[in-house]
Amino acid sequence: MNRVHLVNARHAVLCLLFLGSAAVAAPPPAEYPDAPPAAVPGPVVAPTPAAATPQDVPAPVMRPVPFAPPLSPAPPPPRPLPPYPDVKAQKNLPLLQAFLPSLRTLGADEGVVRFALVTNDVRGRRPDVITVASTTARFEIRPVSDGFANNLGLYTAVLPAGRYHLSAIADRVAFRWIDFNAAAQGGLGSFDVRPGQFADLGTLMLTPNIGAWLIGRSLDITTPPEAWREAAPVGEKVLAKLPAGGSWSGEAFQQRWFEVNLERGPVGLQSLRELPDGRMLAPSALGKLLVRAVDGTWSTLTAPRPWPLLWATAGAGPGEYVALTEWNRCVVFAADGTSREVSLSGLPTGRALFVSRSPQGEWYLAQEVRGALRLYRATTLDAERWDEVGAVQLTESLWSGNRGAWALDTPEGILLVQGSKGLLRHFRYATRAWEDHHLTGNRDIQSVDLMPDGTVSVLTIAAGGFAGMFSGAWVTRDYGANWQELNTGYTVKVSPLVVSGDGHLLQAGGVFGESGIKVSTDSGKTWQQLTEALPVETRLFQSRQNGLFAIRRIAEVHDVLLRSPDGGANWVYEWSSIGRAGIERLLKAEADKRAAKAAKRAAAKKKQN
Amino acid sequence: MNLRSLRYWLPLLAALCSAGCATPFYDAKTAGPQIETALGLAPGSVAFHAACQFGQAGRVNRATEFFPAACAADAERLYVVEWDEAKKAYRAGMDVPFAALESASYYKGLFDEVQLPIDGGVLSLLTGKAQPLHAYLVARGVKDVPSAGEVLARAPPAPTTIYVYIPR
Repeated sequence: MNRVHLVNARHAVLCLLFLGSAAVAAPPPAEYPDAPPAAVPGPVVAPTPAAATPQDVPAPVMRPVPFAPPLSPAPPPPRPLPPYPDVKAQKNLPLLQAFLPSLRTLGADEGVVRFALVTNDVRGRRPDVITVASTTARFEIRPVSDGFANNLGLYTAVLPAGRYHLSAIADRVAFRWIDFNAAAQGGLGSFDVRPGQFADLGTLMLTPNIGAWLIGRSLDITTPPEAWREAAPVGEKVLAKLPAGGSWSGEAFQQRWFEVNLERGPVGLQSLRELPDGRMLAPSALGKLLVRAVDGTWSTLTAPRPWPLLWATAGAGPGEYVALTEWNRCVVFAADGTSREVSLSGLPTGRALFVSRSPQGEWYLAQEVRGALRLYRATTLDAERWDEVGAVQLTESLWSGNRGAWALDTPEGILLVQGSKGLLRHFRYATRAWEDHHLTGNRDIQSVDLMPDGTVSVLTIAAGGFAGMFSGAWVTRDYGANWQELNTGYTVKVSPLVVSGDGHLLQAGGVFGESGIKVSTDSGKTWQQLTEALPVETRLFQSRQNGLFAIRRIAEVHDVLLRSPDGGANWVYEWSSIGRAGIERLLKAEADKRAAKAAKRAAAKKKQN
Repeated sequence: MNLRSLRYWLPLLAALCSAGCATPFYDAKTAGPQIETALGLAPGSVAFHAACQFGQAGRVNRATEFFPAACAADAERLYVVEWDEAKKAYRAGMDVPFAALESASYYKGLFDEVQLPIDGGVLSLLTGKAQPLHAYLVARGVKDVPSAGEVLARAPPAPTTIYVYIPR
């Protein structure tokens, strides 16, 4: 399932709650926490005995890994640390806007700065604003890559000559704001802007770590010149006339350590899907395509660039995969493990979010462009022209914000879902025709799930007027022609129902009560608690041949993929972005916390009785 | 003009208030000479100036925060100047010759905008004098193209922060 990013009032509130809790829960330590938190036993996840995963590497992400043998047996003397900037004083500086080089004649005391930022985070996008601070002012720099990229931000600006630190970044659509503390600013180093010169600061990388975010200067990754030329054609002409000068001052520490570990832990799993032959694909950040073979082993394929992969499907040739990436490009992974980029130059500027190949050999691609999710068709990926086949609108509501749109692969074609008025548009490959249906009562849809047998399960928008305070769970087995509303196990519903392989209904939930999964074996008449080991925001994925999967996020930023061998009662580890050891430690700590809470509740109940 | 969600109306209303109230630095009688001083222009060369809110939106996501400023134009160039509260003076911001402007669009809505295509998206000047400004630009050879739609005002970010570490 591929969903256009949404923000509504509830999303904003949840984000604020999350950010608030993160700020409270993670006070800044003086130094990076090298030692892991104490492991606490707790039966949450039964480990799989010999499941080979891409994270089965010697070191978990938290530990520094030497990247080269020491040249001398004697340890080198410790390098002097760069001075930390006065972060408090920065806050009191005037906040000014940094203008693009294309919008300004360079003053005598001004220079130009340019850098890229790759974010190892599928939930977010590239930051909208990056704030840099000198000793006299702060400047906000905005990206020029909007419309091309999600997790790759390209930033360029004219700044007064001087020395700057990176002060903060913000994703203002997702309501995320990250301040760089003194340790981060000092460790990253400062950069100089020189009069009449152009400083290329290279590529920065931002990645989640347990309870915090890490930022580093990449030694390995460069942003291609053509990306800059496409994003800022006028600005690049200005820069071409300027001499290079000014860069980072001071050496960032352990960059190689940072990068090696970053490579091991791409965040992903947003678009997990199963191919007809049982293989599973999970496009991920940093150009990694995670592939689960039919025998259950995971492997990782690497794209030519570390840009996030958004959606993947089977390619035209045997053993080939195609994954959408940034910048109107896709990556073709060949059966021999090599990969190449293909430019989707025949498409308009927009965000490509979904691709599929019909049995007739035609490519279908859905792109967010001009306020709509539009489906295009071409015979080859590098076609000079893509024909628009149909579209659904991305709309807004006076009452509760934006409405999303989804593109889904069905056994017979492609389903476009429009959140507003619950419109389902099913395109059949065989007839090349659309069938349009609305959800009963034209209810607005907030999320959609597609089962392997073609059953579509949706959750309606909450707060839909009188008697519609809570979301409703509906299913259709004919792409919207007939709908059935089902009673569910939770009053407050956060995800659509999932129909398991044996026909049972499953739902994750528990906003105000015990979180977990409930099951109904009688079409929703009665519900039983199946497990309490999963949090409310868990997403369930029912595959055709590989059973039931759960995708959940832990410590706010890490993805964990679990698989249930018994329809949801027990779960085993499959994959996570920080490796098995790290994630099991976190899961055990979480289980312990849950057990302590349950014990406290039981004690209180006993006392009450 | 379409009805927009509360999320967009409220910042837009705030922008309306700020257009009149949040640019106290702008005084139509004195702004001309002040802008000329800030930009190093000859006295009397600024032919047009107005209080404005400017915002830089992306190609796809046509929503952004707006900032109080003043826009001005002389015979050859369009300027946007910010107010530097510390120095109590205008600060040069945008400075583009008309010949370098690809096009200019006028959007008529609750708040009129002049929209200019720029690297990365669109620059919107939200001002009560949008129509005269647009006409001024077109009269000086800037191509007039229809607006692709409103650039929406976005609320400022949540004040909550989380912290970033780097390995040491």
